[in-house]
Amino acid sequence: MQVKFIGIHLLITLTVIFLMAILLIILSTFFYLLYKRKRSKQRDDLQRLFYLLIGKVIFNETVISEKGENNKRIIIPRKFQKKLKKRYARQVMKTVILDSKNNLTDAYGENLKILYNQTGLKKDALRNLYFDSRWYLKADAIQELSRMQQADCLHHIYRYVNHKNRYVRMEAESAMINLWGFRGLRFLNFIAYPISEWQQIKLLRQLAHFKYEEFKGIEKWLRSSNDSVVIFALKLVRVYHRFELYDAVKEVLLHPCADVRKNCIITLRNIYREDTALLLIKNYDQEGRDCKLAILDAMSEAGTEDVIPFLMEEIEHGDDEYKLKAANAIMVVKRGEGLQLLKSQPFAGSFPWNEIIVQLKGEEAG
Amino acid sequence: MRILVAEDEPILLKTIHLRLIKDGHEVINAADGKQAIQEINDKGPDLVITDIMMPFSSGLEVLNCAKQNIHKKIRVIMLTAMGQENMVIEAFKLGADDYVTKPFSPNELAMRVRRFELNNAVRP
Repeated sequence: MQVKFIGIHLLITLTVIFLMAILLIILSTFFYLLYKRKRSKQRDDLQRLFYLLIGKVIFNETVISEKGENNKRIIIPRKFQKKLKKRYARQVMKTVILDSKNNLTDAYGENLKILYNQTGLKKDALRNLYFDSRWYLKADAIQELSRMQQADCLHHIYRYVNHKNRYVRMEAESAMINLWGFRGLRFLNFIAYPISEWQQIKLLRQLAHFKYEEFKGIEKWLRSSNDSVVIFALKLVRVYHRFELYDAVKEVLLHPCADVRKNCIITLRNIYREDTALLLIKNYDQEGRDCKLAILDAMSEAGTEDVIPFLMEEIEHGDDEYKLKAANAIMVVKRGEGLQLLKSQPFAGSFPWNEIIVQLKGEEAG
Repeated sequence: MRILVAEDEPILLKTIHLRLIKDGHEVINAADGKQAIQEINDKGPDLVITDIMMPFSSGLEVLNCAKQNIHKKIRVIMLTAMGQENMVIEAFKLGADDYVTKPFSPNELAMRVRRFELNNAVRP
């Protein structure tokens, strides 16, 4: 086998190229870090400067009222005005105002809102909302307007609850609630896209921060062609104990979507009447596993003596989960006699009943 | 009253500081938990107002330090954000006297401080 050696000239050329590449990498890293450092220093300087302005604004030192209390204006010194013409400075200012607004309410927060308007940050947000095609800038603009409590922008935000991007939709829905409380729920009237389970949790959590006020529209939402709207309406009924809507909720038991029916069963369990248990078992045989288990769960709340024969049938079901839920319901409905009734069954000594009975005994004692 | 305010948000720290000074209190600032603990040990404030989430040492550690002070009874007001209910429960278990949820009005906080001041005045 013949071994080929690289010529000395080629070796030198390769070494030079390699060294130059390394040098280039080191230099570009150096300049990049220099740029980052400069940016960071610039941001810190701007932050310090804006903290000064915001401090004065919060304490009304630069706020003047024109034609009454509702017409306030902030005197922004020229050096700040000059800085705020630059895009980067505006970004820093936006972050500082938003962070401060998150912490303060009352007149302090109101002054920040005036500053937000007067520095043109609100206009920037609206510009992004309308004219920028990037979805994340739209979502960010909606969130910003919502955090700054810009209630007068509701009519701008309203239309985005049906945006094709789900993150923009989610921000718009949240903003509706944040700016308008229970009245903001009216977006449910025309939303065409599904509301995710996570978003529903988020919206309910947001609503919990508002003082409850009677809201209209649930009957309409219960009849919506959007299944997620029906599910959310059912959650609203049970969270806010809207007992007067029992009949409207009852109708949803015949909904074609199993998930909606399951939620309907859970809601009826929360607002039950005397006849609820019998109503639920009427369609039991036609239901799928999830709904059947939800009905058995509901029996622990809404069950009456009339459903004992039905529950006795279910404890002989082949699936252990049915057995356990039916047994739990019997324990609740029969109160002190439930355990005795289960123990008297011929299968009581065999598996899994021996274990279920031990567990129920423990729960009863606990 | 000598009040220590521990808060990592500079604007909020300054706002609380100025609001309490307006009521005639002596206010000590701390920008993080570690500094707050140091100030408690050095200056022994009558009241500590502390954020729960702070760098280096959390508000709960600050609370713990204040409550373990053997020289005087230090009252503590916690500043919490929405969704920190579990932290509030934990803080009460550790002996917190009150809490305020962000966003809040500094005027409301000042009223709560005033209440502690009145209680202290009544007590011998």
